[in-house]
Amino acid sequence: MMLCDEPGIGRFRSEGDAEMGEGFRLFIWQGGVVLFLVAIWALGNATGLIDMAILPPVQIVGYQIAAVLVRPEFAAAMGHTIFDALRGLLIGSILAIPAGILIGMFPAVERATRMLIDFGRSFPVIALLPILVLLFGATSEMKVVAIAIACFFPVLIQTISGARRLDRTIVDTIRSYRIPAHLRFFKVLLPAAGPYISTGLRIATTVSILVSVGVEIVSLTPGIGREISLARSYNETPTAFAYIFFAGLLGVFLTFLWDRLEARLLGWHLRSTAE
Amino acid sequence: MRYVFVDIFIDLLRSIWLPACLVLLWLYASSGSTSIYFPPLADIVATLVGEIVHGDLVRHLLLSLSNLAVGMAFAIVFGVACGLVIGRAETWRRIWSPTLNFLRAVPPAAIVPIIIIALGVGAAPKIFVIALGSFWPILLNTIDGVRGTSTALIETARAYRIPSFLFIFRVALPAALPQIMAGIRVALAVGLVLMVISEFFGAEAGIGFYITDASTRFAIQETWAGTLLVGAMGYVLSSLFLQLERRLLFWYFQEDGQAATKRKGRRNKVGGGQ
Repeated sequence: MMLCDEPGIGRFRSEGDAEMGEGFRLFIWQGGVVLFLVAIWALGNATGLIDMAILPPVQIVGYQIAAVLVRPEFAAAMGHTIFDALRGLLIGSILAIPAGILIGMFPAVERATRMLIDFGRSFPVIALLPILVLLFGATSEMKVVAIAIACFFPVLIQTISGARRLDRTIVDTIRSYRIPAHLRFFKVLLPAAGPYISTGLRIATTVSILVSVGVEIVSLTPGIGREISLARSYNETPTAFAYIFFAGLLGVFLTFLWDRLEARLLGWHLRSTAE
Repeated sequence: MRYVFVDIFIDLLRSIWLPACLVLLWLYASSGSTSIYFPPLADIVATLVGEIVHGDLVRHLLLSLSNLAVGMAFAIVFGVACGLVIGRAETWRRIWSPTLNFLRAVPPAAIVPIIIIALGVGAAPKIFVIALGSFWPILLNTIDGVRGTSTALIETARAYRIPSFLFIFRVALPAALPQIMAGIRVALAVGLVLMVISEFFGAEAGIGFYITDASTRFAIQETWAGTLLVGAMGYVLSSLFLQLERRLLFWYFQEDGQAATKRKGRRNKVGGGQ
């Protein structure tokens, strides 16, 4: 039952083997692209066209990708980065979602806050780092504050546009039935803005990891970014690349996770737009 | 005629009263501040103006902006060119997509220490970092834009045997332009962050260097002044870009509502500038 709801799987089953062969061929080609890029990298190393200090030999980086996994600091760094990113994301969204719906509910408020929001969204949070370090020191709390600020704006902006793009009929219905404000907030605006909030959260999830790693690199607070910075300053560039590889993998994994979660939470919306 | 001016004035007032109140509040609340970390706003502004007029803050700012401009130019040229190639065939796009998704997910800040330490403190490594980080959003949005080009348009061009270069410059590029501009807007935010970070690392000049240098000397007012200037710069740059986008894409915004919302409604997966 659950499986049949997903159009992709239904088609997959009915068309059977032909589809599967195609999927397998695509997979081979996708692997081919990766091999092609690795081959260029190896060729660049062999011919000396690529500076070793920038891009160390591919086999050494490959070895380090396996080697860092057993290092004790690897799991700890990964944990710090993920945990702090999630804390920042949570704080930022908890503040942004109600604020966004309130701003979206009243056009006058939206007008008044537009300039502030434009300023906030275009502010590179990393530039705040020296001030944040002066205020909080180079601590995890400082990192969480930076992440929360960075995550606040994408969620806020998406929530506002979600709350504003309410169907005219719904607005009129609410008015004619005199639905009280708290019901309007929880039962109408929040679900209606759901798809937009979800887009905002998806953007903010990516942002949270990027800012987390960025802050760690600059301020050397515990996390993957710190390991990258340290490895580089100890002249262990291959190790730095191994950590960078896992930072990228983390981003891919979170995007994937968010796709699954979104399909489950907003199944009703995806189905209604597909029809 | 008189009413028009009154209208404009009221319009302005409606959007500016809250920011103005907050600035006044900050000015008032910080006026007697003795905390070394929160100097009075009036002093920060005085420092900012003083540094702009007498110091070499303008030189730092111009240097940073020129790095940003050159880096962005490289990213736009290569991102759009690669995007046009990859986006043209659906199979080609699907073959590349896992690799591109991974490369896009790599935090661009992560390569800063490697590049800067390897290549030194000049402008070239900073430009390289900015170009590399801004490349991905432009590339992915161009691919999306090319992919979204209507098949009728492509079929017509093929039926009339429009030559390749004409097809690229007169059909594919304009059709993908709204998406490309959206990609550049994201890339601008990424580039701004990388500009600042790369100057935190190894630099002898630039606005990012100015801020860290001030903070390591515990010159709090200068730190605040530089930070506010970066914020103002980000705001000005993104407003200017929005104007440019409106002007270049006037035909797109004029399109009947349905077509416009349909394309805008496409999920933007390349969000998040930080």
